[in-house]
Amino acid sequence: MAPTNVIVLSSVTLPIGVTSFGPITPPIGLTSIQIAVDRTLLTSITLKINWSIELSRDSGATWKSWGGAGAVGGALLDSLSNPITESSFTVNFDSLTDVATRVRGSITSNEIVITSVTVRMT
Amino acid sequence: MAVLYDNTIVINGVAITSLTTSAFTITSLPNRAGVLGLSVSNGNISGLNGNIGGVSPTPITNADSGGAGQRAIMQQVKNPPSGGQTASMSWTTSSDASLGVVTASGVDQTTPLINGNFANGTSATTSVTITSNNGDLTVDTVEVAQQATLTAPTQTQRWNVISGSTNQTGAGSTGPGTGTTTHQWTNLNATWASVGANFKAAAVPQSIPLIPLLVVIPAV
Repeated sequence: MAPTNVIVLSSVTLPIGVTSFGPITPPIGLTSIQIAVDRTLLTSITLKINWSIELSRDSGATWKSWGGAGAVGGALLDSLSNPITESSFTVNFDSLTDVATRVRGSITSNEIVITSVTVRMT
Repeated sequence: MAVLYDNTIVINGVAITSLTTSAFTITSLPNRAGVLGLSVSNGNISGLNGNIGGVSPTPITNADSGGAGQRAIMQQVKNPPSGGQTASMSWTTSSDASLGVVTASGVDQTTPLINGNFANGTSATTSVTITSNNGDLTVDTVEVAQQATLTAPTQTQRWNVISGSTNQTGAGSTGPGTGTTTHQWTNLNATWASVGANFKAAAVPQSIPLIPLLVVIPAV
């Protein structure tokens, strides 16, 4: 199954507080999901963001927590001194996605900042 | 009473300062305990703060490899709540990371995890040895540097994940209490860190001895 990418927030200005995204319906037969936050404009060293997702297997009737992560602002370099342009987390689905699978999420920021959020599923 | 393996959950990430797992189920059997196994590519993290089902962990003596690069850490949680729960860990400095959680029942509730040990190096085999007793359950957490996928665990693999920007790999396994249990993984001759500890089995409840009674009925 080819990876599926969905930009759920595209260059949005996050307010202080919570911004929601989704729900989205993943393609059938996928096993894992990654939620990536663009770091390009996360330059403030006092910035703190947290993002998480919820999973539904009954077309959105019920939801359960399905992973989250936090990150701080400021420039980051990898081991080869290249800029790190994303923060992300990856979790597996509890079983292959089906027609009743839905994913929704939210991102919380302590400062106003512009970013994008991409959902990648394989 | 032997320790019973219960469940595992894992999450990994890139350029982060916290991870929270998806919901997973913890057994309702008694004498529960859990271990949080954190693998990071930036060993300079500090300010660890975590929980399993809202219960805060405590350190396990010698279950922190230390070091500025690859680092593995395990912390213990006594009696996490049963049912659907999440687990999390946070720290202060950005790192690629993976967080694996193992829960078990039948565990000593005074000191759930003992005999912490760690090792690190640069070689094709990671190895940590854990002292245990029959009925215990040993557990390890491994961190290995970029491009060095972990394979061929000598104990039962519970998680094994790779995180993006540095291709950090974190893994964990459990093994039986046999006196001395060695947890090894194969990699591509990279820098690694490994920690291990032992779920200590709860004491077997003492039964009350039956005292035979002799009743003498006097003859009438």
